[in-house]
Amino acid sequence: MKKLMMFASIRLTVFCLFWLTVLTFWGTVYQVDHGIYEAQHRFFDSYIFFVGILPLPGAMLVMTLLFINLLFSFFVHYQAGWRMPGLMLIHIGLMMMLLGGFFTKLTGIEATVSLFEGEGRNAAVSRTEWEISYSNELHAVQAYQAVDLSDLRKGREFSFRDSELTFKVLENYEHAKGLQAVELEETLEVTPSNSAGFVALEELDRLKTPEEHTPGVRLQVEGAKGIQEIVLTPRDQRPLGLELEDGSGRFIMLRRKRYELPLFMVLNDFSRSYYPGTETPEDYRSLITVHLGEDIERDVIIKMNEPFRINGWTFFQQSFAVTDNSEMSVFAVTRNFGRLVPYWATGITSVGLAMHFLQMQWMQLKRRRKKA
Amino acid sequence: MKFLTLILLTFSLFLPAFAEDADAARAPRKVLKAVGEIPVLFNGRVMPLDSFARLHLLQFSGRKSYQGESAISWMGRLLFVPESTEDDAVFLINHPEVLTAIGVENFQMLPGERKPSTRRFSYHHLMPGVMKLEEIARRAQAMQDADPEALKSKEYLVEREALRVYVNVLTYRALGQVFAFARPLEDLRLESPEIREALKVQLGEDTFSYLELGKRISGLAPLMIEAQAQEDPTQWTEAQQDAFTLAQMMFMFQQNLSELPLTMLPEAPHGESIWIAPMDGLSSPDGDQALVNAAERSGAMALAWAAGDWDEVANDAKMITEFSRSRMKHVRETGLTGKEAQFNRANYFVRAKVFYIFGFFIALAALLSGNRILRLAAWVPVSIALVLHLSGLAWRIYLTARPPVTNLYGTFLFVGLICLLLALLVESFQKNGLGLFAGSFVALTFLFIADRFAAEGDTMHKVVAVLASNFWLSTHVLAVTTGYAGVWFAGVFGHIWLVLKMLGKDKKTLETVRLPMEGLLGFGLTFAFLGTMLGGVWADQSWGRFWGWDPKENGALLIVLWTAVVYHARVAGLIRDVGTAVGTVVGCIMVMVAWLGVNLLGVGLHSYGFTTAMATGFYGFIGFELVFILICLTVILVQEKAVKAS
Repeated sequence: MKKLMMFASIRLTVFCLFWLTVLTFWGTVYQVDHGIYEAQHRFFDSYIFFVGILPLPGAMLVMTLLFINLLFSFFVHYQAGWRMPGLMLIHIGLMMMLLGGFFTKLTGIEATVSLFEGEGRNAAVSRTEWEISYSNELHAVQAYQAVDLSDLRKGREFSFRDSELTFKVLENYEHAKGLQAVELEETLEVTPSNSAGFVALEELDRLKTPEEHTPGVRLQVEGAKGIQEIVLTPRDQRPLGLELEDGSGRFIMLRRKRYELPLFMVLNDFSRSYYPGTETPEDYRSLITVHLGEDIERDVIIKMNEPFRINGWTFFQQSFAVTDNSEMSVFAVTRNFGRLVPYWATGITSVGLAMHFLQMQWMQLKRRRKKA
Repeated sequence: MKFLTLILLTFSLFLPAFAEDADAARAPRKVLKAVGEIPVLFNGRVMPLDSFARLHLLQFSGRKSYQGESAISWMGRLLFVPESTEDDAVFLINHPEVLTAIGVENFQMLPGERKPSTRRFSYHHLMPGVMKLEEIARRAQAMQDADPEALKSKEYLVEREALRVYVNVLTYRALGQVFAFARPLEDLRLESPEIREALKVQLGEDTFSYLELGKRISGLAPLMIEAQAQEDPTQWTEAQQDAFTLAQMMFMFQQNLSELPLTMLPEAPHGESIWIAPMDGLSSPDGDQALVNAAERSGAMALAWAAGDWDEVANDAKMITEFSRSRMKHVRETGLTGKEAQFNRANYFVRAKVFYIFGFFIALAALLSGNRILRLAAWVPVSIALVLHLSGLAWRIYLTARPPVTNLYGTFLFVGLICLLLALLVESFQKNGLGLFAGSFVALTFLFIADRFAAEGDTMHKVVAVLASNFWLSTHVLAVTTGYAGVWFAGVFGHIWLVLKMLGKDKKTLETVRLPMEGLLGFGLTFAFLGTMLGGVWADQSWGRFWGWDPKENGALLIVLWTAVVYHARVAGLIRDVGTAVGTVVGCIMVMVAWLGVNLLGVGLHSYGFTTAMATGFYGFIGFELVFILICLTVILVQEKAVKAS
């Protein structure tokens, strides 16, 4: 029990807060040379990170410790703590904030939909995550299966449901380029199949902007006629066909991770305006038609600071691109069922802080008056 | 008492100076007022010509007036009598190497020419080197076009500065040409009798303006039609040749003088905000006679200014203002140009600074002497400064229809005001002059820092689409900057506590500083937390994610975390009074990192432009604070050791 009590220690709170301060500062400066994504990956999304051979706690570990510390403090220090209601509210609010953040990290979806005027879609794609899709049809719209690329560690074997084929990961790179046979100095024992003619992969340094990464994966295949290995890259021009012993075909490709949306959205018009005589944007907005079912459709406007929300999904006007003939609108799409938790946590903690400090000042003044 | 009388007497001497018009102008005040209210479109917003003048003079010289002459007066001379400004030292050159590079360093002064200031030079002074300046600037521009980061390197300091100066020279020249169409031009001298007869020129009329000649040019039509009937131009009479030469010159003038930078006439009667320069208004393709009349009236105004006919200038200016307002009723700012010019003239923040200085010294005297009357006297200038400071911010809110925190300039004004309000709150409890002393010092400092940001351009500029939300600006930004104010002001008390401790002051005195210091830290933590989290809510509303570890978000979080560290360390007994005071001083560093430092990084969604001078100031501040902490800790440790030893 005594050992457990150390989790309620205020010294642990000081350590956690101090180390978070250090990580926040370090992670911010780190962004200059490595970009936000890399800094987030190294300092804020990690439990442990290494400086040389020295392991240091990452923000996830520190925040988990802080949550435990808050929880223990709450039960140990404030059992009869109604004299300090502000302090209790602060701790409840902060625990909610940490839990909400953790829940969002586990379940939240962040993706984008890009639409040219007149174009429609019912799926959003991730900006940073990739998947291997597998289907019986070349142009499968709905009937496909997929596996996340981030789950495929080297050496892992996997197969798809009701599939005769099995795959083994030989190489998987976050950022790579495909090489053709003429670019190789050595002759390969097995020549992998690829729809763009790549036979090998070369790993590249990670970029500051992970959305620009082009991953690459080399898989060993069992069950396909005449094919032992395949290479998949985003530059492949079409899904790679694999022929089974019975003569039927299966199609596999590497693509950005796709999320099915609960609607079909069509961009009718994208408009933008600038402050007169300048290139400073004043407003940009998209007029879209949302099809929610066979017969249900309605027009909505999505503009800066005014997103469209439906069934837990939110569509934000993110950016746009202009080509010679048409305009493309880009929407950020998120799904986060715990979205309102930080809102509540902010309110509760702020009220708690205000109550606590007012109470402290009041007590100080009373003490001073007594002394006087 | 004598001391107080002396201070009040000195103070009263300054009052008449404020009653005087700051615009010691060459044109009468009422004329400058009328001209200064003319609406113009600049940088995407409609502003009075007065603001346009201030911004340009600031851009050229780094100052809002020229040797006591108001910006609008100087701009009037540049627009209407440009040659009268050629000897004015208005071009700021920060690096003397530019002068060497363009070969004007050893320029010999002409008889009667004013001696140039060390950093500001006249157009006349730069003239011999303008060709060279253009050459360097063009090369620099090419480099910048190829790589926007290229000129930021220290080795291209001269190129960068040359490019800036060259842009200013071009702007100066262009502004001087805006009303060239109304001035008689030597090139348009009519000597051919046939041409004079065709244009019905009276005896004694020798030179003409583009405007006058434009009205009569149709008189040349018979001569030109006659000439065109002949196939061989060599057979043209001298009069016919002169007619074509004159028409060609008129065309060239139109080409050269079109699209000049002073867009002061709204072209479209309804709908879109298209503003054009007066010269372009003369040739309205849609036969917009009201526009042509307004353009001609502006030309008449230029001539009247040159002739010193001030009543005519004022009348023309009012007519142009009315014309623009009647056309642009749907653009709120067009109707507010008079108010904005009035706000400019009032110089609220400059006046507030003067009163803060008085307040600071009287409060200091009260603190040192313990004199109650002096302390009460300090309330007078500080209260006046507060009213001026508050009025200035209220004006900005009214004019921009936005909360007063849309840019760094605005945040310094706002945080200065909050610090002062907190100081007055402390003073009302403590009643020892400390709040007045610290509050006037901090407000004054922030007004001076704000001036540095004002030098970067329009402080009431339009905000980009993502920031155009009054709700979030008035919740998140106001809350987080109030948090800055709380933590910063706690740090100020931390500084005072450490200094008093070093001076060996007794515990009672130290307590009068420690108590507000801790209270302010709590206030700062509450608002910094609320503001930071509201920023997350705004981000969630705008971009779909609550937190993205963006540098600006991290900066705000640093303040919250650090303040929480200081509090918890204090409760845990890890630090005592000295540690808390040092913690609040480090809090000041955290505030500056969040406020300005993260902008230096140049990454993330909140990164703004940042000048080298400001970066130097920022690092200087951090260096100073670290040295201060080191000195304080050393002295206090030595003192404590000495006490223990004794």
